[in-house]
Amino acid sequence: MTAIPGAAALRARRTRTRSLASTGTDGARFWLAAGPALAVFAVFTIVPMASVVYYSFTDYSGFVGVPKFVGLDNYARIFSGDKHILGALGHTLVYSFFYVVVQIAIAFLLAVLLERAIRGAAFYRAAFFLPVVISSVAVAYTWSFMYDPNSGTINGVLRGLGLGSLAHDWLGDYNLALLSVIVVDLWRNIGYSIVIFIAGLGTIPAEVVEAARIDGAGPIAMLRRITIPLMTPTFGLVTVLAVNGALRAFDTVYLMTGGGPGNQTELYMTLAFDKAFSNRQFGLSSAMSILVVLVLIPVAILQSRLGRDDRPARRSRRVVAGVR
Amino acid sequence: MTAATVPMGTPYRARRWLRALKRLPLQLVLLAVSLLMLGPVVVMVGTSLKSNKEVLVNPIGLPRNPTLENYATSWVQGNFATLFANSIFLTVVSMAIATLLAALAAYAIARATSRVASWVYVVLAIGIFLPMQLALIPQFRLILTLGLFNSYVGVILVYVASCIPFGVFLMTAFMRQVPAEIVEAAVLDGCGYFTMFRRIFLPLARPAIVTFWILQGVQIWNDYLTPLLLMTDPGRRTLTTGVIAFKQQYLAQWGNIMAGVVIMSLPILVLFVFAQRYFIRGLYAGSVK
Repeated sequence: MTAIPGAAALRARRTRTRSLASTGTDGARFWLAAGPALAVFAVFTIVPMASVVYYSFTDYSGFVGVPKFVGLDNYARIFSGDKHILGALGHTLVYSFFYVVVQIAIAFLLAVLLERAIRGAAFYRAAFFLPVVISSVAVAYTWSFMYDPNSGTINGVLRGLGLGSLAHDWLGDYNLALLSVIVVDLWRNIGYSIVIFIAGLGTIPAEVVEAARIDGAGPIAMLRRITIPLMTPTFGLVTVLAVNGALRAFDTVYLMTGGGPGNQTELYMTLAFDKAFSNRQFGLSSAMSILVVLVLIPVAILQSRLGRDDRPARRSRRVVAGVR
Repeated sequence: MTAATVPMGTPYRARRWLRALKRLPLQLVLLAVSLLMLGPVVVMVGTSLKSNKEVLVNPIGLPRNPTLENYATSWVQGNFATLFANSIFLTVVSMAIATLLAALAAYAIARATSRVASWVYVVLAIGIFLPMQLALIPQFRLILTLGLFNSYVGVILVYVASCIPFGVFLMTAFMRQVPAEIVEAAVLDGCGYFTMFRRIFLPLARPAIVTFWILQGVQIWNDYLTPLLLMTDPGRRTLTTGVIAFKQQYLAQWGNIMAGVVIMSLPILVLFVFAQRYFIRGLYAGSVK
């Protein structure tokens, strides 16, 4: 760098004109244009978020009284093996397994099938995607009806098929409630994952597929050797989104079961919410929230990295080289 | 992919048949899964067309005596006219303000060259990653302190703040692509700072704005938690909180409840049918933010 004498001077000049622009001509107008957005965002997002951080170190009840500083007590309590918190964590883990692993497997399979369908593709895609846009209130109540033990659709169908012995109180049964909730959220979200997979499939270069076909690759080999390796970034993106969704899962449990029966569907986020609003332990609830944010930040960074990844092109070159 | 496996000598028509036959299992699987996915929506609509009594005796079949009675009673009992007005008002006003503020900020960031501007961008864009339901209680307290509890203003401000990060992100990306020559030519013609925003940058960002409205507008329309916590006055209920209250009142009158749910979902369903392309593109854009 020092070999080019003019470069440093050039760089210095450029930074000078830049800083001049910021303080001189741009200054006032810049703040006039960006100010309103910054102000609203600061007051209604940054300040509340910052106070969650602060309250996580206090014993604040959330509504009355003066918060007392308690250091890391709230965090210690989360890790102390509180049965309630451990239970919610366990349910969130089970939920995450289905929401991440099972969802991705099904979504990928459906995306591959959908890509091959020439006729009706638009209809199928719409059908898969429709649940994504419906409000969680509508989803929760429709499924509450379907799960109803007496007049619900699911038990009705089972009885109609002569399988009445399989009829259950889907949301009231201790062993089934969590799975029932998971099914709803899988139904709700799978279309989203499918859409991302379809977009990922679209980035696979036609030459690669063609080359593999000429070399006599069957559908399974094609999937294993071409599609899946080339889709690694897409798998990453879908995984990150699913982990994000699983850790933040809230709506369906809140609206359908309220965490019941007997805390069997209590998830981490619904518990954090209950701690604050029902148990008046806002300090503890804040600490729980901060922990989720700490996990979500790297997830979010990964998400933005994977989103603008240009690797598919490079990868495909490597795979092509491997095939030949 | 079928061409290679069908013997070359086969006549054209037969080959086409063979190909269609080979695709049959694929189509059947996709059709079955699609029907499974549409099932709950069919149940929702079908149940809303049955009387509450028929739901009990005929929970799974198609309605025997389809009736719109549930819609009439739910509409009146649930005060849906008010709920609709409130939801439309909150969504449109929040989105309009958020669009204006986010577009202005994006414009300022796109045109500035200073380091301060890139910091402003980072600060605003970070909001995309913050799970906002975590800040609900401090927001709730803030709204109380400001005396905005039970007022539309509080909810609108919370919505605007939650939409700004993604709006700035989307629109900055668009506005940065405006060629420098256009800006220079406009400056030479005596075009002022804010005139240039209105005349050049805002119109050019239209595709980003459409995506923004679809993504965040649907989110606001579907949101229940914010109005549930910030507005307890029954007269200010939105479609979502209104339907929640309606369900609590009607417990197991499923015909009526489903009619309410259909009424609530109808605008989104209609929008989805006509703007499916934008939905899918928009939500994809949202995933790779």
